[in-house]
Amino acid sequence: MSYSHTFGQTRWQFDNLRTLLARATPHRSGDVLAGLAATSAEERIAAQNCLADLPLSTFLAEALFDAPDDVTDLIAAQHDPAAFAPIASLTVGEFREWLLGATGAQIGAIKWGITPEMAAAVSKVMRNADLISVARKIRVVRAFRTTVGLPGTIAGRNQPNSPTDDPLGIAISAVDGLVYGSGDAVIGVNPATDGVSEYIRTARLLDDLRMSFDLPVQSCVLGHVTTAIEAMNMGAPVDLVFQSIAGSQAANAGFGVSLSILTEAQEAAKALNRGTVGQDVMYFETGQGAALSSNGHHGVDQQTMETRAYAVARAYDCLLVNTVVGFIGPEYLYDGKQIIRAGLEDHFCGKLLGVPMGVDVCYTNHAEADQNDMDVLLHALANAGVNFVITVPGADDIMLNYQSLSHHDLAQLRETTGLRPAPEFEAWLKGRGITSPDGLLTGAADWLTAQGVSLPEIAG
Amino acid sequence: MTDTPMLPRRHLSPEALSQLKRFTDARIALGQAGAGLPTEAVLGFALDHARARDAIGSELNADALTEALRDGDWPLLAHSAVTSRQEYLTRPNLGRRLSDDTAAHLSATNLTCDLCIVVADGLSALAVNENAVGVIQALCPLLPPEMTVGTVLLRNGRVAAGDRIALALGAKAVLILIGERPGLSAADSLGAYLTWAPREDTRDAERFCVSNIRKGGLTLDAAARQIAALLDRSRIAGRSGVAIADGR
Repeated sequence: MSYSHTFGQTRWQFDNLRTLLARATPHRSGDVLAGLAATSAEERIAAQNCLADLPLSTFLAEALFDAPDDVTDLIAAQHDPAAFAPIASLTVGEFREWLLGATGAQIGAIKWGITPEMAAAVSKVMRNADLISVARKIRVVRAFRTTVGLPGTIAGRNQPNSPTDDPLGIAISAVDGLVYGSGDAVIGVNPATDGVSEYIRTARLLDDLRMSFDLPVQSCVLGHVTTAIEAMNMGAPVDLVFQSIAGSQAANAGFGVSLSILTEAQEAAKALNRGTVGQDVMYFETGQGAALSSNGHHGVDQQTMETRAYAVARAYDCLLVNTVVGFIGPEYLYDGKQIIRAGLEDHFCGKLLGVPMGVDVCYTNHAEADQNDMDVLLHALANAGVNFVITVPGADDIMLNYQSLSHHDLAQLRETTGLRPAPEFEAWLKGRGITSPDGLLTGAADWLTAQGVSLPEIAG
Repeated sequence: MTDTPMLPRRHLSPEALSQLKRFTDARIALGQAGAGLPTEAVLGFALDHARARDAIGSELNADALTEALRDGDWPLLAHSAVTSRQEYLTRPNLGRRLSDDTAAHLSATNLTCDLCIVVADGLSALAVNENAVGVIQALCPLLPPEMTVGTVLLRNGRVAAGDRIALALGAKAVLILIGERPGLSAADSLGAYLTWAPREDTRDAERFCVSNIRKGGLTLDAAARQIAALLDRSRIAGRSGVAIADGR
């Protein structure tokens, strides 16, 4: 079915639903690369007008693409007509207004009535401030050894990567992050080598660190899900299972995963029963452009494909999900403006669909962006109630060669906004004197003097 | 001194952590001003990022490279289908193709070679300007004496553009020396991709890659020896890439 909108003498026509969504998307390089973007600023606004007038029920009646796809099937299976009932008669534009006026409880009650395509559509007619204010109302709280996503908190993923998977380098970097109060989301390492022996070695190291320091946090080795399953079968101490996911069966195949493998991994991790305050065992990463880069986008714009990945995420018991928003490069998100917009879209759409959303606030050296852009995105996301962000020493990830936030950025944000760490971790920080009774960082000299010398022994 | 609590909060990194700096390249033990970064750390990071940004905007020094590589009609000068640096960053598909002028020029030339060495700016012309000639000079004496070599300078090129140049010149193999994405620790890192019997649709897995070639990384001489060894293996196997690297 085709759609159109007329401004004066000009009639803008859109051949199908996916074309309408693509043309309505705020400008970004990845949609230009895919040949899907609006060809003029006016065409984009015409598409947004057309989209605003579209009934939400259209997304239940018309598929974005015809190819058989298990993510499409999952989206259909997830849809709950009873939850949809309160918004069933609304257009996309009316839905935006409904969201702006609704309470968090009202929004939470309809989450299984919203499909990813509806979330993507409404985000395309929302400004950044809308994305912040609506997301802020939605709380998605999950738990393992910490409770992540509580109102008034923001957690950090402490990311102590090493280019050689060096145990001592990882241990030192992790401790550096703890000194600045990062690690309550997870201490998570991206392995340089995706072998099962490297996976097990790093998982054991992180578990030894946790036990030595009596840390109430979870760890994760971000290897491939099949490596995690193999490691669990061999008795490795696995808290969270990680996987990159995307919004189509083809794109997930590009990552070497299927929904059934994810289910198998979740069951294996839950069987280990390692959580203390919860058993949310999955950790997913997503990012706009992933489907296009694996040629699994089916002519759908990158932001809509991204929201479809959240349908996958919400089918599992996730502690953590984050978009790697600026990681994929300028051919998908060119500059700070595009990265900031995409970060806010991803967080909003994820939360709207009930996903415990965090963001890797980050960029690469070939993007037209710098730390100032990341400061703006971080503070906007904090205001939007983001569950967690990723931090590395000095904002420099020496293994993945990109810039994320520094541990200091999170600490400074907490002091500026009054947001606090996850409660279990906050108690640990105060108990060791890493933060003062009023929550300010102390430099952790006493704790380090007691602990620092044992690091080489832990790292073996 | 009862007014000490009025002093701004500033912590040096504790000795116990600073001692561990020698075990990692990570930016640990930076200390803190309030909860933020000390000025030295902020400006040190800014310098590293500035160098990376400058490297991405740097230009291939075609005159100096031509002078250094001159051998008869070599090197040729080629352009990808990209028309600006911004387009290079946003349209990788165009960086893999040749401009119409270059395609016409190459198809008209009578030049031919066994090994085509393409020197491309990639994401750091700085890396190419500083390191490419040294690698080529170290490599040539290591090649079989009967192997003829042609050189091509390529602006705004990506790796796959080298395949099309090699096809036009009837080369058996193509070695592309290309500027890698600058990191904060090094902005002058060169990558080398070797492809035996290149096609228009060569897959990435069918190439050998040698990376981090720079003074302070993999030295130019060591890189040349690795490339020569990979070329030998490719010549014997009749193909390149991970399939033979893994012995499969």
